[in-house]
Amino acid sequence: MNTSENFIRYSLRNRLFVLAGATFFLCALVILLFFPLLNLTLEGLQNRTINSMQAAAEVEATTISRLLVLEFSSLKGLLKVTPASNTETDQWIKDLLWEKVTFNEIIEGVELIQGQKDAEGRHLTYLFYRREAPELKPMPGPQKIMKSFQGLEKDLINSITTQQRVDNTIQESVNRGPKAEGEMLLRYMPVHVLLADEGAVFWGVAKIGIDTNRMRQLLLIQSQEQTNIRWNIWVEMILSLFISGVLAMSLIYFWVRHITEPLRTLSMVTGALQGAKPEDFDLWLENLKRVDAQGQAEVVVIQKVLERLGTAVPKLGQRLIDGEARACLGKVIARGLPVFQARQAQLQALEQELGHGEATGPAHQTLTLVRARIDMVFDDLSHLWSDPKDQWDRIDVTPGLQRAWRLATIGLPAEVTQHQEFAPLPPVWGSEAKLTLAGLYLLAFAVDLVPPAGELGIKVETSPAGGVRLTVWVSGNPRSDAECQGWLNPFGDPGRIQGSLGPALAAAIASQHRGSLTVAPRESGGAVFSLELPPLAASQEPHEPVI
Amino acid sequence: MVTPRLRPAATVSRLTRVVWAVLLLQLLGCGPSPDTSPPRAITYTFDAPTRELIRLLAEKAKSSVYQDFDRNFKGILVPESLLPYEPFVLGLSTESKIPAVLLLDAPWVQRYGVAGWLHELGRTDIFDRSELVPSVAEAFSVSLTHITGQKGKQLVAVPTYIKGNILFYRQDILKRYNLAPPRTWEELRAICRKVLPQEKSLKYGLLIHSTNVLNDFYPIFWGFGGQVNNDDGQFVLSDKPNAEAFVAALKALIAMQGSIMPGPGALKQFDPGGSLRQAFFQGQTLFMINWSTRMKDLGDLIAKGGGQPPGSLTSFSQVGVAPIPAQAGHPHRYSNIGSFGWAVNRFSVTDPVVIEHAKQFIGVVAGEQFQLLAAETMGQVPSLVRALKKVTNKEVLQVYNDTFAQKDMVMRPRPHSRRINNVLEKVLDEALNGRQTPEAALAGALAELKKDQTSD
Repeated sequence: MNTSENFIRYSLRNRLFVLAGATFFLCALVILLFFPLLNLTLEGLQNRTINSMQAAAEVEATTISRLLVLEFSSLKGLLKVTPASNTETDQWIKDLLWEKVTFNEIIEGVELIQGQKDAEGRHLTYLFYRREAPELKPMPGPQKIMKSFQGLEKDLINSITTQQRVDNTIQESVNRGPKAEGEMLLRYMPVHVLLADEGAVFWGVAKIGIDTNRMRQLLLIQSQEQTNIRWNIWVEMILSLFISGVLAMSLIYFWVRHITEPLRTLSMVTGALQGAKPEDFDLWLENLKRVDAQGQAEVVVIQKVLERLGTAVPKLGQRLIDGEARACLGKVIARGLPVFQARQAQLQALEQELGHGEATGPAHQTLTLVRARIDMVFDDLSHLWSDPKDQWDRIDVTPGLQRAWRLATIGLPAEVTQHQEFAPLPPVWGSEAKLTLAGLYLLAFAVDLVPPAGELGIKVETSPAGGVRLTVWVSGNPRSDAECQGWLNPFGDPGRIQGSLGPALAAAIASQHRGSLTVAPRESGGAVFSLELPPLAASQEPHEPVI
Repeated sequence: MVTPRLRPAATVSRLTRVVWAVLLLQLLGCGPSPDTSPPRAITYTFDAPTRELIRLLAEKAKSSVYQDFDRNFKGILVPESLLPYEPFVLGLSTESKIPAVLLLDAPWVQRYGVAGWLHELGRTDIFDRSELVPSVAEAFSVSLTHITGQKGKQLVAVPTYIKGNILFYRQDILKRYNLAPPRTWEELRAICRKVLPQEKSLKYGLLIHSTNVLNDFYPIFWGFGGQVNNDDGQFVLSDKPNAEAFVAALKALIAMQGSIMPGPGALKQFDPGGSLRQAFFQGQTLFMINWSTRMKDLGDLIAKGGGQPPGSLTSFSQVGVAPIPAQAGHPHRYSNIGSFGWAVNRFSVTDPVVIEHAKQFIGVVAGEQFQLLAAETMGQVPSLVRALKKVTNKEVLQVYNDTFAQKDMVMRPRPHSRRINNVLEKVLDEALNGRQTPEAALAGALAELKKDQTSD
């Protein structure tokens, strides 16, 4: 798994972005849910409007019809008309109908139906319809006919004739739907003729057709308006959501960036520790101190804790290096102790044999040699055990490495074959004590790896780059690359920290001297440690002081 | 250990929050919209006597009900010239909502009621019929079975007073002869035969109107068991029992002409208005059929006093009233009711507010105070039972107790058809003036009415 990718995907900033976006879309979805509700509301409004318009049209139709009926109530001639007659009264009534229907756009037609009917159930009827409907032929003019009525209309006219009043229940059923005379709203009203001596005398029924085209047009306009309103609101909602979304996401982006910046910086600084070299630690610590917490309590706490750790870790490391050096020397001394004792015994035996006098001869030479060897061991130990001042200078690493070789190989079984090759070396820039320790660490580690009849070797030579190359090899079991790399990274698996930190410390010292340490398996078994130090830089070359 | 139960407390807390939220929503404008509709006034047919009484009550009673009358109720003035045309027939037959409340003569109540144009008052709690004198309540009730489906008669108008034609008689003379007022025509004739020869000042035994004689004739006709229309408003005069009753009643009147009543030749002198009560006041007749409201007129004449011929009335105690006699053996005596009543236009009742306003209006114009004032100042007989108990006007009480409160008294409106009334009036005139026999007169009337098949 790519850690960097994961970091980007799961970072607090991205999560906040995703959550903010999801919240906004959820809100937008809720807002969009209002659109179906809006549709329902508009539909309800349309229904109510249609109903109120229909009611208004019916009231208007009733009013117009009533006004006509009031006018008909003064037609005293109506009481004298008969089916057979063809008098001036008939013509006068027909002319009146023509005037009413022709000059009033809203009145589509009028029928004056006498309540009294003949033996065949027919009623004397004066009628005239304007008939603007294209499917109907125009009526030539007002007519006087005997007309039969059927179904509900017949019931309604009979009801009006009996009770002399409108029956809305029947009237609505008669009025519903298109009519044979065209599509119109029909109103039926009783006609009373007013006489001074007899009062209101019932004559018959007035059937008045009211034009509904105007209402249909209004309904159509209203329907179109509602569609427009619906689209406009939809567009406005989408537009407002889009704009508010862009604004919200922009603001959220800047806010989230601002809020998460300290944590992101702290995270990056902390993460840089993973790839940092020991010499970069101070720089890392400095970077950590420079992280601007912007007053965020969480960041401040983490920063302080990391600073404390960062301050403590170098001291612990130094203690660890010091401890490892002593442990390494202790191990060397422990391994060479039998040899020292044997040499001590040999020295005592030779001294007794020779007495205190000045003697010469082979015994005396042996004594001198033993004494020199013991002195050399102590001299080597004193050089390494002491805590020399960490002085950096142009040095020759050969003496130090030779001391390390001598100390590391003390007490090796005689079956172990030892190889040493010290070529003349150019000077390098560094700390002699640390580089000697690095060699000792490698050699001590290699001694631990060498089998009873194995081989151990050291080769010090000039590297191709002009620096110094120290090669330590050891025979033994075949080693894998991972195992070799594991020696250099003893804390790679915190659960399994290996016993010796020698290679890792040697690598750290090499790195401190801008060099490197590589470990690789040997083809014939065992491993090869190769430590390279860079040549002197031009600035480190000796030069004459300028006066 | 018992774990404390927190649920009830949490529920209460939640409930409290909900209540607060609801209250806050109200503050935010989510509550019911304020009722901004102006108070609606209902329309009524304007009449002068009612207006005068309202004015008097507003002055006397100082009641806001009467003082704010014009603000709450809008009167529609009906020109007198229009009244003969029955103008409201046009409006009501076409379901006009105006006027909401109408003052209607009793026959019009019958016509409008049967047509279904009037709102039933008892069932909708606008007015309780039991508050009215039963005989007058019956006259203002109609059967609405064909409209509402409910059996029995429904009260459709509230009369403000009781008016009907009754028999006036000389109480002092009958007392003198120790005679009781007649219940039948035979008794009346007997009284006349006994008294008239001895009382020389009396020119007539009985006087009835010479014009609009039909109003006086109807109670007589009904007393003979006849009817022009049945309860459903159908014309039934041509039915044999009714036709026979008509002829018998007419013959009874004609039989009295010349002896008890004025003969055909003398009828003309009673054509002028007021001549009938003048004749009674001047002591010319023992009996008189006239409207009950003439009691007040007689009182006014008596109060005027001086300058009248000898034998004229000098005191109310000389006047007696009784129901118009009936045929012997008939269980009821009748009065042609002349009261007006307030009715509610059925088509104006579009919501309960109209009903409430109509109830308030009728409560004002037909209320106890209103009727008591009318009784004391105009001599009108209240139609409310509780008002009658408080009336102090003796003449009013006399009229009520001796006529309308009689157990056998039935108040009935004349037929509402002006055409029928006109035709019958004409034939009555023909018969009483001796130009036609009663039988021929009836046959002529039936023939004329039959011509109009659509007559209502």
